[in-house]
Amino acid sequence: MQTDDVRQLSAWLAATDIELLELRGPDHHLCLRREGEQVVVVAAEEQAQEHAEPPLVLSAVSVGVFLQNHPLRTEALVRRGQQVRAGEVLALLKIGALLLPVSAPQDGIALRPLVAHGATVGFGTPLFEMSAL
Amino acid sequence: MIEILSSSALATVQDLGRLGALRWGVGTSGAMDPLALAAGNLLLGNDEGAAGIEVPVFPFEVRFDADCAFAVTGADCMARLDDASVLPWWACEANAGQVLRLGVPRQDGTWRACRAYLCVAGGIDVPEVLGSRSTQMRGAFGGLEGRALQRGDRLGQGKVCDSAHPVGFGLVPPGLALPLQADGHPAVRVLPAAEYDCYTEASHAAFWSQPWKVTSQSDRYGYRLAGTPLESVRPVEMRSHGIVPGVIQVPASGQPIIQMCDAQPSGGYPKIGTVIEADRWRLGQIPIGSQIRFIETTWDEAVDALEQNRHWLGEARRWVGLHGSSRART
Repeated sequence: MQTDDVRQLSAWLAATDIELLELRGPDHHLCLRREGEQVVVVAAEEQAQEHAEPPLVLSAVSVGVFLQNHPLRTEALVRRGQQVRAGEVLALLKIGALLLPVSAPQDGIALRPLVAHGATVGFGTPLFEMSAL
Repeated sequence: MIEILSSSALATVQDLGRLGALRWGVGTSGAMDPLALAAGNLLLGNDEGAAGIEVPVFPFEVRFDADCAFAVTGADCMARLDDASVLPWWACEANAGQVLRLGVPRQDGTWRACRAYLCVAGGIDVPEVLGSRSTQMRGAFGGLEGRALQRGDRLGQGKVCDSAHPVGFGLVPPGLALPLQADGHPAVRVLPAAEYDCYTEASHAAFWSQPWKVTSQSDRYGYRLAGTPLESVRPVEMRSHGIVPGVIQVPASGQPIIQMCDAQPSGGYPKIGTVIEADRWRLGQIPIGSQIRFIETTWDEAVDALEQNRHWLGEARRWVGLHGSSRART
């Protein structure tokens, strides 16, 4: 499959209200998901995960404000389905002037944040789901 | 030790400046964004005035010869330690042999900036000259051999005060906590200076109400601005006199020059205003080509603004201290 094909399929998908498009061929497999007006390629690992063991849940080590992106940036620290390494920062907890990491305890796949960006959370609040590799 | 791998030739060792030497004709030097340098040091448990590396040209690369805690503050330059990303304004640990690479500062984030500061645990160890480790480019002393860093230079670290100081946390940059804009442009507060009254009413209006472009002839010595030329009521001729960083001079062209950290200590151009000390860090982060606005202020407001900067640093110090002690207990 060519990049142009994926782009064309993405454009078609974006114009519909269909959420997921999956194509399987003898030597390729493509899965596209519509997120609002954007279409993202769903990584093979993330699909596999949907059928695997329960995800790891990372919880707040302190009270604070949950941030999906660094305050200097407008994009999230990790994408859904992104492969991450042990120690990698998936999200942040802001306490006063401090930023504390919500980091991956082991290698794996970032699945999804469990609270909204900017939400105030208490100690132990589940913040982020990932799966171990 | 860290080794400089880039040949950019404009990165320099800076601390918070060589204060108190103007009477000998020695300019202050020091970090163009002192808040970023101080914050980088706080993140590492250093004295706030420890020396770091100011980086104005990218990419910039260094190799760590030994395990070393470091922080990159100032502009968000998408730093990478080998192939791992390094968050801005974040305390990190490098292992011996690892290479840190600072990329071109992002201009699409929530705070535009142009200079990055690399701080290391213990500070950059170069000899103090007249009480400071800052590079004095004009006099060719201070810093490393009184010059900008070159490929192959090796810099030592000072003694680490607190070897149990944690890494793996960050600070919210002051650019977000202390924003200052006018009509969408970054702004700095200005006190009218001695020759302010020598300019026409129209020039006063232009000075306060128009954006001023920071031209490519802008560096650590001074920023040359471009806008509607400022006109004096009558020709102003003066003898050379003492000036300080922040002074806004108006040469015959009517296009103002703001003196910056490496400014010479005297000059003869008339002075229309002075950027207050509390806002010089903002100026230090204005990228070339962007426009700035001047906001008229008073002595009391200027002193209060300095107090707000100190308050921000005090809060950052308090939170870093709390984090350090909570980590020590667990």
